[in-house]
Amino acid sequence: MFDIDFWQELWHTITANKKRSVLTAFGVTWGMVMLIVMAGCGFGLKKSLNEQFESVDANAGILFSNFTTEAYDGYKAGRWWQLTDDDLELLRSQYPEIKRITGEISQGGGLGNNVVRNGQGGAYSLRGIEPVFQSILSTKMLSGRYINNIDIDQSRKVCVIGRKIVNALYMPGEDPIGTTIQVNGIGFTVVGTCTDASESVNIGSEDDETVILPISTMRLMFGSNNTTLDMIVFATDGKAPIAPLTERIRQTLYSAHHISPTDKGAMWVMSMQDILNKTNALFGGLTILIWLVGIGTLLAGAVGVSNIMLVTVRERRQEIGIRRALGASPRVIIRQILCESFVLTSLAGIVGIVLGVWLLRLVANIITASSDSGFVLNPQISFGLTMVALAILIVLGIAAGLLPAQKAISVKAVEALQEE
Amino acid sequence: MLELQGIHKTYDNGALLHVLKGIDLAVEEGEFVSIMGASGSGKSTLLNIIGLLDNYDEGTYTLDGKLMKNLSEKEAALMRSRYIGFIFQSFNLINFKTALENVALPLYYQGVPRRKRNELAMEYLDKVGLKDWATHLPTELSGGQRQRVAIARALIARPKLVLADEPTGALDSTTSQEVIDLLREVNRTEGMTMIIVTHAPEIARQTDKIIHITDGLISHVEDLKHA
Ligand SMILES: Nc1ncnc2c1ncn2[C@@H]1O[C@H](COP(=O)(O)OP(=O)(O)O)[C@@H](O)[C@H]1O
Ligand SMILES: [Mg+2]
Repeated sequence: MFDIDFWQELWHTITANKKRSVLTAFGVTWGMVMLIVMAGCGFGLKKSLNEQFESVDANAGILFSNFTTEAYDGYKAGRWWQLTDDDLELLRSQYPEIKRITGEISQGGGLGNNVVRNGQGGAYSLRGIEPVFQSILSTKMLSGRYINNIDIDQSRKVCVIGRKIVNALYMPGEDPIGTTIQVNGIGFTVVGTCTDASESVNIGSEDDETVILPISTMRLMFGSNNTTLDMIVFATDGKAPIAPLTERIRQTLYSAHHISPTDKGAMWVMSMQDILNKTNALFGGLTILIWLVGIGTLLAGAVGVSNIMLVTVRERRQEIGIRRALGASPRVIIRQILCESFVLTSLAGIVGIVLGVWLLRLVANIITASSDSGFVLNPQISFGLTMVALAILIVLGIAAGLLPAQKAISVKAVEALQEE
Repeated sequence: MLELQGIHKTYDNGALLHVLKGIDLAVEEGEFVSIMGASGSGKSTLLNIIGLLDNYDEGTYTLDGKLMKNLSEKEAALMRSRYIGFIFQSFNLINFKTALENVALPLYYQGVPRRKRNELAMEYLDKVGLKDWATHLPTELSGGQRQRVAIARALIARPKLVLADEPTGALDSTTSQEVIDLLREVNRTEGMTMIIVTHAPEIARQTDKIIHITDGLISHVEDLKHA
């Protein structure tokens, strides 16, 4: 009896009672829109992160000094110590598994407008580096070139500036390469512009808001021949496990600087692997949350459908009574109500998908337009996942129709007819 | 056509209500019978039992030679669909369906194809004089028109038995007479057995037989045809 006639009768019942149908469908549409938008944002976020992680070298590590926390070798606790070029040499000679290693000095941007061009200025971080620094922490060039070895050897007054500095000091479309900016009152030629390779994984200041200088020039600028470093970055060959290696490095530097081997606070050392693991764990949690909320929304939608169907079945008692008096068997009535539920939830689900995808686009556009960072949250949802959600929804929708359908035939036809 | 013997019916809504207390009744094929009695005497209950909309507690009921006892809902639905047409005091039309669709509905449950259904429905609407109102909703029709739609619906499946529970109860006397004339004519031309419950003596007088019910029992039967 599932012929054209059956569907025509069904469609007629649905369309002849628009308000009732729309009300029933609304919960489902809403649930679907919520699910699509949430899942889309979640998966977009995850995808963007994964793309960013690809640009980070998991074998990279960083370390910097801190106040000691234990008295040792005649020194009191709370002593300040500093990394130096000698430490670099020490690590380079003792650790063949370290393939690349370099030091960095930096100055925070909190001291007024230290970077000025044509009277326009801002407070930005300064970072003195060697060329190899870029290959370890993956600074991404936007134009021009990075600091090279000749810059270092000749202590040239050249710099690479971050994207946000370009935006602040230059007109749109203006090419910064070759122009001169004042850094701490000294003229530097801009040779390149850069941005963060990864928005979510940053060491020290953001490249976007940093002026990168040759380390030799920066040392001269601060008027000393000193060899201190603020941070050491290194990259291993990836074969040795990084955790025991960082512990050995710690002990090597501790013994060179008379620090207690058990002093945990005197030095910070961290591998990219640690950071990636932590971020992954965070977003694993986010995914679980999205699914929980999504399934909850779907269930709520199904319960809503069931509720409204219950109400409408009560409203329809007389109609159902008439149909039964005219020869409709209970099975025919149940089938009719389940199929109505099925058609309604499917249609509402599809409308929800269309709306949800449209909304996701809108969200994506707004985020892209309002985000001045390079980070693009790219909300999207796969076709497969959408179909799975729709299938779940339809199954839930039919299940939601079961209770009202049972209720519909539990009333005797004669009683339903007597009600006015 | 049908025979009831010692039919008892008790409603249990907390308190027990013994409504039918042993009804014996036989109706011949093609008879036009009316049931009269005070309000609450059990007329509708009796008609619903005859129409298989309700079941009975004691006695036997045979319809067209078959014993109607402990029918499942499905069997009852099948019997209703094959044998019985209903007309109600409150018309009981489906409000979101047009006159034509309402009339055609019993045929839908018999699996008659849509085109055939609508053809027949139009034919029956014509019979009750409402051909021009086919596409109207029940709310756009007068009481008399609605009852005529309901009559067309009750007749379309060519049932052997038509049951009408106070079909004129909601109509004025002129319209009532038109409805009764219509039923009488169908009874005469198609030979359908008709049982109508009514309060109005002038209507009951036009039937073949008046069955008087008092307090759950048939008190007496007036045979007008052979009187
Ligand atoms: N479904 C029911 N449940 C309980 N009592 C009912 C039910 N239907 C009818 N009754 C009661 O049974 C008695 C007979 O009702 P009914 O057959 O409708 O009388 P009539 O049609 O003669 O006025 C009334 O007292 C009525 O209240
Ligand atoms: Mg009654």
